[in-house]
Amino acid sequence: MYAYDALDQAMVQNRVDEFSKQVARRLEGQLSEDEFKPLRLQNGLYLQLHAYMLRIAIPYGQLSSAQMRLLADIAEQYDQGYGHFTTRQNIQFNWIRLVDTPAILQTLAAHQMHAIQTSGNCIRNITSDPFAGAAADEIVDPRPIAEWLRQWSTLHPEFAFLPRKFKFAISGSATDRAAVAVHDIGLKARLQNDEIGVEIWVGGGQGRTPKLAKLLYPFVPLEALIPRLEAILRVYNEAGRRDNKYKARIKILLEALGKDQFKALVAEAEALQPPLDATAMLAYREIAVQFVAKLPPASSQQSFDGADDPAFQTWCRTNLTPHKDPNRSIVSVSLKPAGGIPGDATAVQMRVLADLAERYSASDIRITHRQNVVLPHVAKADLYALYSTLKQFELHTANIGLASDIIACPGLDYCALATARSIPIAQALSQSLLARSDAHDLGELAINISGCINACGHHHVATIGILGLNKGGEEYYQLTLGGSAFDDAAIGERAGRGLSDQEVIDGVHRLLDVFADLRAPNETLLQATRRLGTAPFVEAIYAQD
Amino acid sequence: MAKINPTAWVVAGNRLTTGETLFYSNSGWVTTLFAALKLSSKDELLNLAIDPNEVVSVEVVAVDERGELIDIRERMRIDGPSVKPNSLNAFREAS
Repeated sequence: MYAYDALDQAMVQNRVDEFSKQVARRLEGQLSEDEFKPLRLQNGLYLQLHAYMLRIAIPYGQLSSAQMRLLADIAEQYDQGYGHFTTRQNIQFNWIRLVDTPAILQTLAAHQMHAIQTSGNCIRNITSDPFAGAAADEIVDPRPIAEWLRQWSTLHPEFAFLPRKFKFAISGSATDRAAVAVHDIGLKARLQNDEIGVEIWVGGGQGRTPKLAKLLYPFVPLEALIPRLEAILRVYNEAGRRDNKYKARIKILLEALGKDQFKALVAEAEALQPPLDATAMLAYREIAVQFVAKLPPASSQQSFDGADDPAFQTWCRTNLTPHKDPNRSIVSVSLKPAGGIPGDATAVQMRVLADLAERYSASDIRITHRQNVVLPHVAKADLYALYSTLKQFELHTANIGLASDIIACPGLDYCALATARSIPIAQALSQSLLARSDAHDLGELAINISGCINACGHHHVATIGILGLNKGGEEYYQLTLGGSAFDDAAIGERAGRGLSDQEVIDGVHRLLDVFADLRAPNETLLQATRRLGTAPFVEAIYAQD
Repeated sequence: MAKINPTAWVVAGNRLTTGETLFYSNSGWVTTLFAALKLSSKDELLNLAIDPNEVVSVEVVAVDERGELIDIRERMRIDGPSVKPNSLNAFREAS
C-alpha cells in the first residue's frame, strides 16, 4: 500500500499544527464560533447531538494493521471503546472532546492518517472497490489512480470552496463495487489497447434529488485525466448554484445545462489549461509501484480444515470472493451480527482484525461502503483458522450480500441532521431476518436505511430502501423498492404512505414471504421487482396481518 | 400523531470544550432538563446572558405542559443514543 513521502508527511503535520493553534484560539475566545466552525469542519470535526464527532479519512478504504490498531487506541483513549465505519469507507468517533482533537490528529499524522476534507464543500475522501488489487475480475487496480487523485485534490486551492461537497468513486473491475453511478464523479478504470484510461461518469448522487451519473467520456487516457477533471470541476465551481444548497450539486448543473452544453463548457475550460506536467505521470508510476502486493506463495493444497463444520461452509458460501490467485480468497468480515449496529466495531474487534490481517492478509485491511471489513489476500489453507478466530469475537456472521447485511447511517441516535433513528430499525430487522428459516435462501438483497433525506444510508439504491422522517415530532418511515448501486444502478420507487417502526419490520417480512412464493429459480428480489413490477410487493408491505 | 402546540420553551446548547448537551437555568448551564429555565416566548432568548465561548449551537426547543421535550430529536439529546444507553453517562463522567 501507499506510504507517505516527506511532502505528504509535512503537509499533514502542518495541518495538525495549524488546527491545534485554531483550537487554542477558539478556547481562548480569540475566534468566534462562526469563524471556527468552517475550520473544524475542514478537519472532520462535527458537533452532533451529544458530543463532537470526528470523521477520519480512510483513503479508498485501505488501512494497514498498524493503522487499525491506532483506531482501536483512539476508541479506547478518547471515545467510548468503539468506532463506526461509514458508507464512505471512513470511520467516525462519536464521543470526542474538542480539547482532545489536536492530540488525536497528531497521533493520526504519526501513522499517516488524517481527517482533512472529510467535511466541507470540497473534494471528499475518494472511495473505491474494497476488493481492489485482489479481485479475480479486476481489469485495472484503481488504487494508484485513487491515490494520485487524493494527492491532486487534497488542499487543492481552487476547489476548497466548491458550491457543495464533491464525491468521487473509482472502480476498476468488470463488476462495479464502488457505487460509481451515485457519485458526483464516478470513474471506471479500463484498458484500451493495453493503455490505462477511465470512463468518466458525472452527475450522480443521492440526497433529496437522487440522480444516476451519466457517462460523459467513455475513455480518457491517464495523461488526460487530471486536466479533464480540473476542467469539469472548474465548470462546476463557476456555474454551480450557490444560492440554494439543495440545488448546488453538480447533478443539478448537469441537468440544467444538458450533457452537450456541459461538455462544451468543459472543452472550453480544458483548452485554456496547460498540458499535464510530465512529472505528474512520473508521480503516478511511482505511486503504482507501491500497490503491487508482495504476497508469499500460497499453498496450492485442495483439501482444507473445516470441511465437516457446516457453519464454516455456510460462511464460505456467503463471505468469500474469488481472488486473482486461485490459492487465495478475499474474505469479507461482516460487521452486521444479529441485532448489531451496522458498521460498529469495538476496540477489541479492531485489534483482532489488525492481528488477523497481519497474520493472513499482508497487513492489508479494507473498509467497504456497505460498512463491512475485508481481508483481501487470505490463503485458502488459512481460512478455517481465520474463521475460528473471527468466531471468538462475533465477527463471523455469514450474511455478506444477504438481507441482514443492512446499511444504516448513525441516524437520530447520534446525528444532528437526522430526522429519525435508523440503527434500531436495522437491529430489529437483522435479528428477525437472520432468524428466518430461509435467511440464506433469499439471494442477494440490499436493505439500506437512512435517518434523513440526505441519504447517507444509501436508501435510494437499495432493493428495499428505508427512509426515516419526522412528523409532529415523532418518527415514521418511507419504503422504496427496486433500487441498485451496482452496474444495473437504479433509484428505488417509493412504495406508499409512511409507516411506524414496527409496521416497517412486519412489512419487510411480508414482502419477503411474497417474494419467496413468486420468485423464479435463483431470482433475486431486484430481478423479481423488474420482472413483476413492484405492485405485489407493495401490496404485501401494506397488507394487514 | 397530532401536532402539539408548545406553550413553553427551554434553551439548549452544547458545551464548547466537550460538546456535551446543556440547558440554561437560573444558575447557569446544567445537564438536566428539570432545572432548565422555562421561557413563555422564544423571543426571551434575546434577554439571556449567554457566553458564546462557553456554550455553542444554542437553540430554543419546545416543551409540553409538563415541561417534557416534545420533539424526539431533543429527547435523544437528554437520554443519549437509544442503542448505546450507557454511552452518554460514561461520556459525562469522563468529562
